[in-house]
Amino acid sequence: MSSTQDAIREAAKNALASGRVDYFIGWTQGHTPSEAIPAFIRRPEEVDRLIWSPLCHHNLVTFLKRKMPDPPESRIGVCVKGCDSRTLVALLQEGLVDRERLYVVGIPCAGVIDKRLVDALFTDEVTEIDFEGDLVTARTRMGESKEFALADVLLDQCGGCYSPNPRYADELVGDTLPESQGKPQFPGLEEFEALDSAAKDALLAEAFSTCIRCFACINVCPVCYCWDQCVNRSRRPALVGQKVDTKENTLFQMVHMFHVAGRCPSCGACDRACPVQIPLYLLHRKMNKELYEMLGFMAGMDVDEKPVFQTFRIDDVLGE
Amino acid sequence: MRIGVFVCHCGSNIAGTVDCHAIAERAAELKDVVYTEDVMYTCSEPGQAGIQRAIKEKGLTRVVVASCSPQMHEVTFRRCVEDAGLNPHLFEMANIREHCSWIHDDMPRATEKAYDIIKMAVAKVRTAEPLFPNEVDVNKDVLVIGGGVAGIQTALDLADAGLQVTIVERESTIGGTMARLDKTFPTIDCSACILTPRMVDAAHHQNIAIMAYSEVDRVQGYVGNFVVDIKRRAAMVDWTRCIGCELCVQKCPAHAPDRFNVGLAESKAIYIPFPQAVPKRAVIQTEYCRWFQQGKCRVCSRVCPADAIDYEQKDTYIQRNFGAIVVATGMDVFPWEEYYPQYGGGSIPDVISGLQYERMLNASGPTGGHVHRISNHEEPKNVVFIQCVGSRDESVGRPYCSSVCCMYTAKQAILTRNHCGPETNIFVFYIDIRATGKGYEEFIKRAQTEFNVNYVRGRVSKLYEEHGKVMVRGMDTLLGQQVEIPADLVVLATGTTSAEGAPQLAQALNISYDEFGFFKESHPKLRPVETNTAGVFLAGACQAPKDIPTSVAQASGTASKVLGLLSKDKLKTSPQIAVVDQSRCVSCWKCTDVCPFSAPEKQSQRDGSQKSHIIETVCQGCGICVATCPVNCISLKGFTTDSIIDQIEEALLA
Repeated sequence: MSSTQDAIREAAKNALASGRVDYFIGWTQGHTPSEAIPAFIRRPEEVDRLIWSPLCHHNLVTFLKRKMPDPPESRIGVCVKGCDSRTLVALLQEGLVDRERLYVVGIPCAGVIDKRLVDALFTDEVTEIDFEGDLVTARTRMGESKEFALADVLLDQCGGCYSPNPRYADELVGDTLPESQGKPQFPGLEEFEALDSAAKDALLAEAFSTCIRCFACINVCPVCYCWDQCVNRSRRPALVGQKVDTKENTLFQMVHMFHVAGRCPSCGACDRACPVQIPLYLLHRKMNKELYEMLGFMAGMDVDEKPVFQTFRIDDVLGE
Repeated sequence: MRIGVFVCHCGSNIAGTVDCHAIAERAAELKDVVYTEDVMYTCSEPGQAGIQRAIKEKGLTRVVVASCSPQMHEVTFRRCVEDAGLNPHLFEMANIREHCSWIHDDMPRATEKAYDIIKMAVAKVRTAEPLFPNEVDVNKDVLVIGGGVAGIQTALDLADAGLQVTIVERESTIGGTMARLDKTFPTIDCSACILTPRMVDAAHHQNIAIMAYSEVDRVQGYVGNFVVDIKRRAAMVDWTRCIGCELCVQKCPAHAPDRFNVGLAESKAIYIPFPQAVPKRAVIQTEYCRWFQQGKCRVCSRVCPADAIDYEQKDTYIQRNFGAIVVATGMDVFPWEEYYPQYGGGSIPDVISGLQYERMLNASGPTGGHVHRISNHEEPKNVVFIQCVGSRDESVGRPYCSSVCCMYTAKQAILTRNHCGPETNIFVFYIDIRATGKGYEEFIKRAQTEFNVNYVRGRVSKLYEEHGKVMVRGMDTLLGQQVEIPADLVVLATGTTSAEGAPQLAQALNISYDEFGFFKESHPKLRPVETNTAGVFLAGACQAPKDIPTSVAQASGTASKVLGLLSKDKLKTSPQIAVVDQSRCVSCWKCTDVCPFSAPEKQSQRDGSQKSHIIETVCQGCGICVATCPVNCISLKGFTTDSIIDQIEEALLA
């Protein structure tokens, strides 16, 4: 772990010192040692702030969406895990990021933790999380401490990850991991799929009834980039009502789902960003499963591929 | 705003299910509606005059006609209001026939629904804006894809009228399926004697260029201005030098299956399909050639008196511009071997397809016109024909009638009698006899009476070999008993299927095709040779199974439609096209990816950014970009998002 962290720092330092990039986006420690947050590093001497651990769940590609951020000509270094790289590939496929201006440091990733699972083990606020091999030690503000296996608190999509290694990178740090063989897994959908339509409707209506339309899910989404022009917020034409109720909330989430379909690799950023814990993974992961089963398509696997909904092949078969 | 609403009875088509008078009166209460009327036949001359009178007398600024599908009469009414001085796009059609009266029988509820449809049309016409067409120059050259009898006929008709025509043919010679036939029904005249002079006419016509051994690779552009990439396949023979002397064919030591003779004979690796080929040029089939496979030989190169052999030849691509495209790619024979294991699936030598038998009957065919058994070359005593193999058979996924098999079977039965004499027994197993053309029924009758052909009504369940015979086990449904015939030769009336690669060509041309790969016409009665892509037309069996007379008649019909289109120097383009609100474009370029016409372009803005811009003359108004744009900043003129939302709201609000 620490060798990968050193390698990231080294890569960032070289990229900044050589003038290859103007700034470098990685992860650093948050307010407490129990969380990582995105970091923007502008000087070589700052690189020691960068960290790498299973806390680094943020998909940093989010900061590249909408034609790369300001200033317009800046060159940017960025760290990507396997799933993050697929969102980057999705943007590259659409020509929405300029690869000449990017320096991508790819990190093979064995999984990041779901902080919500750790929090659930305590009644108190978790302020420190340490990793020792496959073992995790968490401590709370009041000093309570527990040890548990890393595998027990991974994000559910990390088990059986189909792309632990970056699909696109200028430089790879750390050792590549064995690629999952066989069919990709879409965990966590079994219960949902077993429901009949009415029960699915009821479940989603219940979930969406709590949405406060804070737009955290679409702001954090790396492949959602229309900003001010988003049809969800447009007044002319007024396609989605601004009233915060179950019906309009549902329409809003459905629009988001359809707009990222074929580009979303289920990184889960939306799900983790939601302050009211709407199970957004259900929508997106289910859509990805359908796309895989109907069209054999997985988002962001190959830079030279076209997004699935911008192509038509004669052998495309849409269901029976 | 002053809207007039005209509700059509369409005789009893609408009025039988919808109370037209009542809804005309009710529609008068709608906002902005100042005049309503119910009319017996709105599309009739007095009906249209009534609309024009109302526009003038009542000062109407918008018109709604509630009648049939816009497919049927939108053009009619647009012209009608335009003649009365209104912009034709200030008119809206409410379809209360196909969408209402024809599909319902409960009058009160149908009337209510018809009223809703009218309300929605009024809501839409309220926000309608006048639209004006553009004009584009027209290229008057025509591309004919496929050089069978239909393609040749269309090309000759167009060339005679003075247009420059290019025929692109996949094979090394034009002629298509007809070139392989022996005689044609119902006159028993020689197929080649009719066709080969037409092939030569096409070759010698100063307005026709034949590109054989070539394929359409890519089609861009739009009606009047198509840009077509044509791939000329490498023949390994320089056709500007080849004189078609066949010396190379005689000396070539490598054998290959003879596709022209459907495997009944062998050809050589260097190949000219038949003596009357046009153009008569040789092609090396590299997969069978010793030089290409084993790196030695070069006999053809040594014997060629014209020094035409070129082993280094590569596929070449050329780009040409055309104003119209005629698709005449014909059909293929149903691959019965894959689908009929009960008939031996191709493993019984004396069971052959109708086209193979056609070659056997042909005097210039592999047997010199001598009918014999494949297994032992003896003259057959019992010949059995089985109809509907690969036609009207849902078990093999072919529910359609191939339309030619009944007739060609009768023809082949008559020819069998002529070839084999009175001693031979001839049986035809049939389901029904389809003989609807001119002189066709009489032809069947002659086969049965004059030529003593035994017609047995029923399907054959099984063919199997026994004691050197092909046993034909079937049912005679008229006698109600099983029959078993020891046959020497069995000829399957194999059905027709779409030409290989037809769906791919349809994709390239952006035209519709059905589940069997046949191309779809725009309307079976009103636009039978047009496709839904303007400027692309159909001729012959690529549309549906057809016999020669029908193909040729349609080909001439197609030529007249092309002439009509290209008689103008400029074409008016539809003003119903997409337009981008650039202030909201997020430059994601999905529109450029999905557009089948390459209408959106990247347009540089003053701030250095690039935004999408639709080239007006290229856009066909299909709306794919509108649906694809994630920010909804592309709208289709005449179908704006706002106007559709207005319609939906009108429908939802009581």
